[in-house]
Amino acid sequence: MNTVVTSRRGFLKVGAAAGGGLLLGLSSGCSVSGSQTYKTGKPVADDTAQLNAWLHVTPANELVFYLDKSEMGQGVTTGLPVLVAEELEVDPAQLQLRMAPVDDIYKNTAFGMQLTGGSTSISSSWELLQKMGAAARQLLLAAAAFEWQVEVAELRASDGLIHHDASGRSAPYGEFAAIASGLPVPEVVKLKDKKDHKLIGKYNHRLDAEVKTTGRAQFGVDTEVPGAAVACVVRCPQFGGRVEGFTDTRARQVAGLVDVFAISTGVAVVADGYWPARKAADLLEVDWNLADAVRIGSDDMMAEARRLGRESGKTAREEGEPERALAGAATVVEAEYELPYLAHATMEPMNCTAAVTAESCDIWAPTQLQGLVPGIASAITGLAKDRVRVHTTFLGGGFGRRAALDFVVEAVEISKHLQRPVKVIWSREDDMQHDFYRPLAYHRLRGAIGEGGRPLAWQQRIVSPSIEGQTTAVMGTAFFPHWVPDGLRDGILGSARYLQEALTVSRGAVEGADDMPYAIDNLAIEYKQFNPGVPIGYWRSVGHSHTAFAVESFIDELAHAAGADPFAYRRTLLAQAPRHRGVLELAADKAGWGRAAAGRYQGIAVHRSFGSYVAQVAEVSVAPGGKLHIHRVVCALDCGRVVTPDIVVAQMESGIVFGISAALYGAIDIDQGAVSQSNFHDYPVLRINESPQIEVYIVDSDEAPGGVGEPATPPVAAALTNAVYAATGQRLRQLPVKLKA
Amino acid sequence: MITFMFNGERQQLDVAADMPLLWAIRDHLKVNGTKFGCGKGLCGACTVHLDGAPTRSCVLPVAAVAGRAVTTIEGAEHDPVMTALRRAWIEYGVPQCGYCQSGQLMSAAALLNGNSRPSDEDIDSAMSGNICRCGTYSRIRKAIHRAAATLASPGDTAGIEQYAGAGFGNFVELKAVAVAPAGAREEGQS
Repeated sequence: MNTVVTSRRGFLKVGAAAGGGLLLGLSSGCSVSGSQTYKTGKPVADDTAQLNAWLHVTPANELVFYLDKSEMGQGVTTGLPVLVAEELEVDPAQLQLRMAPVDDIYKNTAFGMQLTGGSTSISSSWELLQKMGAAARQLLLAAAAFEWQVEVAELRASDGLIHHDASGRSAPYGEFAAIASGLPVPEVVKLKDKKDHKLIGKYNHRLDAEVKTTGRAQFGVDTEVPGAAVACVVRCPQFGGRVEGFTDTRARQVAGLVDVFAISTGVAVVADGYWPARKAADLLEVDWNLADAVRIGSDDMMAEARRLGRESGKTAREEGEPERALAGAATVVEAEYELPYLAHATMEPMNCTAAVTAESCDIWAPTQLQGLVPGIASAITGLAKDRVRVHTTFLGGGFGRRAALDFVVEAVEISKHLQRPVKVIWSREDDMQHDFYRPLAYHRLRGAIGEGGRPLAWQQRIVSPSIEGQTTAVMGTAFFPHWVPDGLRDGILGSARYLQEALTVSRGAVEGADDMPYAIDNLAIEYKQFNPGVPIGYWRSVGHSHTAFAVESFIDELAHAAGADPFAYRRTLLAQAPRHRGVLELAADKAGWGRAAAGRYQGIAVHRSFGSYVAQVAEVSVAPGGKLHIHRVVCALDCGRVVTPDIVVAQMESGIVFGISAALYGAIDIDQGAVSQSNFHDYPVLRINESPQIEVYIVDSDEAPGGVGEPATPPVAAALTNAVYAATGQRLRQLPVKLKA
Repeated sequence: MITFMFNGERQQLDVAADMPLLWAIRDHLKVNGTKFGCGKGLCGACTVHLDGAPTRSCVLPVAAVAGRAVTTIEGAEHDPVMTALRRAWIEYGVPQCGYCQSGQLMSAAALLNGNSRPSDEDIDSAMSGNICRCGTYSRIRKAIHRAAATLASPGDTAGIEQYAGAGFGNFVELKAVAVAPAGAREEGQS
């Protein structure tokens, strides 16, 4: 790069002036740089010119886009390139995509760490990546102006080329990249108006579709590192159990076995391939220490939740005097809703590949949380964080499961022990029985109905474990320097967890309930924490996955108790909630609310989550004997500004199918501290022959973008059970559903 | 030693006879398009063609394929039926996470090889062994119909050509990088 630096140095004086002259003319632009350089501390490949952290140009004129979010199906490999390409004036398909390394510059602005979750990829990148595209274009124009000795105003950027129309000259961006990369990032850029967008709101290809139809897409489990061994881990079936000892005599007789040893999560069985490792793991005899193990079952846990639901909890929201209103009401409706633990069951079982040496640690992981990987690996290996390199692969599904790092910990521990590359592969049974589950939840609701059927009071008590409490304890390790002794670290994290659970209302338990949109004067939402010792985590839509079911079932119950139409009842109570009401009316209109064909029945639900509003109408029939058939789901969405409309539609379809799987079948049962389910035969998910017709309608909106990966999941269970009530009069208050004959 | 035809070429493997075909393909032939999903023949991610018939490779001992022909997604790449399916998959934006799609495409190809104009019921019946957690089912149904129509009248490629060959091969960059011996490699120095 030295030759470039020399010419760049000479250019900088002129270039700074040229850049300044270019930018001073923009009065209505938005701030880009401030004190930010928008560059990575360590460029990923040493032969590329870095325009900013997301856009590099190779000597071969390839425009490289560094993707700082994980692709797990939600479409960031298209959506984020479209944002940058709109302003950079290139076809998104011209961008070479590479996964970004871990770097502070790539921290998700919604969380302050590098992660993909909370349906934030578009909302957190929306303005930033447009600015980066615009800033890069301006740098390239300024560099071209210098190179050609013309005014910037005479130049035009389009389709990856810079044109000087007066002289008929044009050249690809890459020719100016080296000079442009040495220029300061512009202070101010002006972004296009919506009406001038060629890509945002219009682009309907999926950039990762081709590679995902050839078998060439590289998922975590496809990582091939020369000399790598394959490991299976035998974990205690009971949560909280530890390895006391093991007998590996039979396991060691399997041809291809490399080693057997204890690690923090169980016993690692390492071989020269998955099959010998699995066979040996099945032959291993482990003596488990169950002193701290969970002994009870999920029935006991739900019974305890019901008991706790009789006691008052911490207040999440309170308005008016709900107790008094309930005491004085002519009609009081009471209901309890119960939802089980759920597994994520991503199609790609958990896996991770690590190569630990005395000097460095390389990790190839299908992860949603690469930002904490260096800290975790540093704590295990004793290497400094900057000696850890993270390579994010495609994710074969995420749904929140891959925001946990247990599989990364295993790979690093095993590779450190063997000082050779190791790929850890979980079986489906491992995956289902050692998940971080959607917590079980118990909701107790009481509602008062007054004159004309109007609801006077709504009291909701939620009993569910605190995801934040557990996350503090589990993930906190990544934040400690590696020299802090384990005992001190665990003590601090344990105290932090205790304080979190004792003093706070878990957002992950009440979200979607404490922002319930219906206009009711007397309102109380309470939270009661309990911790049965089962690992829990973020499951597509988190707390909304159970609060929407309780809220949208109970408002339906109030409507029926009031003798009102469920759609009209909601609509009246949403007079002050225009975006809720907008999607509710759109869904009802498109579904032909109230005009279902003979023998078919409709249910409706509306819910806001992750900045987006979704209403759904489910249309079902119930055959004699109680066989439920879901014919159609009509979905209306207001997610603000849309980037890639067809991917938004796909995410609605996806979230609906995911929610129906949970509503019809999803249940993880715990028996004496161990998970009863093991594979898709006893944890069934929706198949193509059961998949309903899905129609999606998107509200044209100028609001800021909301999320789309999760918001379609919350309302569908209630839409479905409300339809079953319309069909049969059975009010289903427990999931998964069980219809009476 | 087990000898069989693999993607059109003769292969000899010296592996345990009870090793499932899936792991022989992935760990020994190092061909990774065929995926591991459940290990019990329940999800279809590992679907390959055995003498043309869709087969779950995760539960089939490799000894059972001796003398037979195994085709994976890689071996089917230039097959006309698979080409039509892939184009329809891209046109309808079927894949999301993409992990199940090799298996979905292999099941769909077997369906179209035996039934050139399948009904919705035919599709449901042939494809119900393939789970997709991303819920791409309605698009899979549409894409199979589309591929069948394209194969029936090869001239009808409207709306498809614009997607083909337009620089969609970028993701090869996402593949894993080999590790050099201890301490020999240093990334990111400029």
